[in-house]
This record gives sequence, C-alpha cells and structure tokens, in this order.
Amino acid sequence: MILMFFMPQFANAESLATRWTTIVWGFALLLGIDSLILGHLRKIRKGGAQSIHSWGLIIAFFATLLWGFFAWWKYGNPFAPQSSFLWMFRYVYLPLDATMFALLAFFIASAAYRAFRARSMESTLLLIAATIVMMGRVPLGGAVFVAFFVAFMLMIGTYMLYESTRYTGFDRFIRIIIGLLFIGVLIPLMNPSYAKSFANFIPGFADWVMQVPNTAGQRGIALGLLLGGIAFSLRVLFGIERGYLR
Amino acid sequence: MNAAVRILEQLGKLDRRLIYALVFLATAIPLILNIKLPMPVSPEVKSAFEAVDRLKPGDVILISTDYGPSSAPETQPMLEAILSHAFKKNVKVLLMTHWRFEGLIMGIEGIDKVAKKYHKEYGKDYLVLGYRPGGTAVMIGMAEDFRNIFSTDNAGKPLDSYPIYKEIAGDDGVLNYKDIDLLVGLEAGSIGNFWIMIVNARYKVPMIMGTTAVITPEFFAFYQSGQIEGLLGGLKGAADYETLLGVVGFASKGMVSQFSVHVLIILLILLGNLSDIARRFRG
Repeated sequence: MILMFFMPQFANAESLATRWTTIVWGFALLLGIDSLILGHLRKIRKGGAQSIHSWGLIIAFFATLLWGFFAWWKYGNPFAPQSSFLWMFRYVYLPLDATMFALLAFFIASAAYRAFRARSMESTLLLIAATIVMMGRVPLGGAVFVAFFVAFMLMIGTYMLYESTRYTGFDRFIRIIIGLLFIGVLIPLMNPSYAKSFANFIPGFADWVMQVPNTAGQRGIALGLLLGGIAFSLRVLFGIERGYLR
Repeated sequence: MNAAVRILEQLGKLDRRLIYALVFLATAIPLILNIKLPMPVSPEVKSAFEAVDRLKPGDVILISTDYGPSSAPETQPMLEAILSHAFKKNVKVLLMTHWRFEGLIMGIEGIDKVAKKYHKEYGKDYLVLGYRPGGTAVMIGMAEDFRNIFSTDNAGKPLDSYPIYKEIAGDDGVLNYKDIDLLVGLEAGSIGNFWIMIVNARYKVPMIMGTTAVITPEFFAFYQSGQIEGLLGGLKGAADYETLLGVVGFASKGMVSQFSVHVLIILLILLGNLSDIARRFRG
C-alpha cells in the first residue's frame, strides 16, 4: 500500500486491496456480533441480578434487527424517508446517543473535583495548561483567568508565609522570600491597564499552547504510533508476533 | 486558623448530586437567558472562513458529515455556518458521510434547514450522496468516478439524472475529485485523518476541517503543515465561524454556557485542591 501511494499505475491493485479490507471488515463485524450475543446468552444462563441487562441487550438487538428487515421489505430501504425504522432511529436511538454523551459533562465535573490534584510538578503543569486553555477559549476567559491567577498567587503566598512560622533560620528565610515573591508578582496587576493587557494576552497564549507545545506532542505521538503500527504489522506478517494465536 | 482549615476540608466533601445540579444550572441558565459575549476569533478558523470565502459562484464543495448526535452540539453549528456561507456565495454543495446513518441524518437535517433559508433547490444547488461503508475504500473509489461508489443519491435516483451532476461533471460526464474545489470534513472520529492522508495528500483536494474539541489537538499538526487550510475546533470553532459570518447561532450562544461550566469546573478543581492541602496540613 505504501508503494502504491507513490505509484499511481498500481491504483487498481490498491482498489482491489481496499475492497478486500471492506469484506474482511464485514466478516469481523459478524464475528463481533457472534461474540456479543454468545457472551450475553452465557450471562443469562448464569442468572443473577445483572442478567436483566443482558436480557435488555438481546431483546433490543433482535427487535432492531427484525424491525430493520421489516422496513427493508416494506419500504425497499430501512432508511427511506417514510420508514418506521428511520422514525425509531431518529426518535429513540439518536436521543439516547446524545444523552449518553451529554452525561459525560456531569461525570467530568465530579471526577475533576475529586481526582485532579496538583501533587507533583507534572500534575501542576497539567492543571495550569488546562486552566489557560479552558479560559483562553471562552468569552471573558482572560478576565476570569486573571481573577483565578490573583487568587492562586495570594493563596500560595499566604500559605508559604504561614508555613515560615513553623521553621527557623534559613528554612524560614527561604519560605518568606517565596511567599513575598508570589504576592509581589501581583503588584503590577493592581494597575488596571496591566491587568487588562494580561487578560487580553490569555486567548492568544491559549492558541499558542494549542499550536506549539500541543502540536509538537501530538506529532510525536502520531509518528510513534504509526511507526509502532508498521513494526507490529511486520512482526505479525513474518510470524514473529504470535500472541493473537493464543 | 483551625476553623478555616476545617471548613476547607469540608468543602472537599461536596455531594456529587450538588455538583451535577451546579453543572446543569451553569449550562441551562445562559442558554435560557440567550446571552452572547464577544470573543476573539482564532487564526485557524479565520483561515477556514477565507478558504470558503475564496470560492466563486458555481464552485463545488464536498461536505462529509462524519459525526453523530453525541457530537452534534459542536459540529452541527459548523455545518450550518459553512452551508450558509456556501449558499450565500452560490456555491454548489455535495454532502456525504462515512459515519453510518447518524451522520447522514445529521447532514440531511442541517442541509435541508439551511437550503430552505436560502431558497436552494435539491438536485440543482445541492445533492445528498448518502452513506457508504468502507472508509478508505470509498475515498479511493471516488477518485475515479463518484458513481463507482454512489451510483444513486440518497433518494435512490441515479446521480447523473440531476442537473447539478451535469453542471459539475462537465463535458466528460465524470464527477471525481478534480471537480471538487473544497473538501469540508466535519469529524468526530478518525475518518478525518484518512481524508487528509488519501484525498488531500494524493489528489490535492484543498481541505478544511471541523472537529470536536476532543480530537482537535491532533489536527493542529495538519493545519501547521498546510495540509488543511483551516480548522474549526469544537464549539469555539463554530462560534468563531458564526462571528466571521456575522450571525448569532447556537454556537455563539452555547459559548456562554461553556464559559460558565469551565469556570465552575476550575473552581471545583481549586476547591478540591484546597481541601486536599487543608487535610494534609492537619496531618
């Protein structure tokens, strides 16, 4: 396929190969369905409280399948504009799909509150980058980011100054300096024009984070994945990798 | 000090139902109040807008709606904004999908709505090719002749029976990528990569993309390399396009909800961290 990409005269061979891929996909789908149905039938046979879900899946699966065949027979195409199957798809499946995804917003908020802790340098960097991008890509985000920034610096500064009272000598001195530095950074922001410039800087900075560090990382991941995929495929083709046979 | 630490500790134990209620309110209230806030336009969206704006009347765009209802709040406003722009400029539109029937239904809903607004006629100004499974095989098959893959449109009529086909295909009667002036991939999955790797790289079809926010980061590499001319990322991308188009659509209104939910999430993360610090402080 790689050679064919650069040699258009082999386009027919490529077309044939992609057709084979489509046929293999079709059979893979059949295998998947077989595995899904057998798995849930096994759960039903075992019984228990959870088997109700397997019943739900089996009934929904066959009801949809039969309904699809019926609509095919009646309308010539299950997705014909007047088809009852299309009605089911539009008013049952589509809202369920949208609802499932919409629920993520609630879980993400709850999970972030419970689990996103700045306990290491890496997680702190992730938190800062996420805050910049989240605030930089919404209206008024820059202004709100400045407020968060002030609160964060004040919090850390005050914490360091308070911490210094528990130490003596050099340890105390270094904590006072760090605390004062965190609070001192905020002095320029007391000037409204500087605060406004800082707020205006955030959307551009969020774009920079997306376009430079993010893209560099993504490009590296993509190249690594593709090279890894090619290497793995060659191992399978040459019989070095046999894990899938077990 | 001890009382403050105890309060902070308690704030880390908010009931999850309260959080769900806050997220719901933060999303719903701005939508109900119908607020619109100004926002700077991202450069990649400006490039996408300019790519559509450069098209002349009679030029052709092929739109692939590779997403379902789960990602429609982000991608459907992109479709509607791009279609509005294209129809305003009297550009011909072909619509297809690789994403089962969900993509087709979303695409048809979007194009019917916008075409009605601009008094565009099916078969003359736009055509819905439909859905074919096969991904890359479909893309490669279309390179020779779209009829290899879509012998009929979505309504079951032969493609070449429509006036738009004859107009686009020209004298040779063959419609393929050479007749497409801009490819628009609206993506919620991996199909966008194949549009770029196969259709843009090999057949040199100019492309812009609209992607869900989750997958947008991986497409910036293609934008920087110039493989795609513009990129609409998530709801913000759609809202930026609406701003450039001078309309206030769902995306522009939705951005206010996104703003309030983002602020809420960051506040919750800060609260969680403060509570954690307080817990460690008390030992």
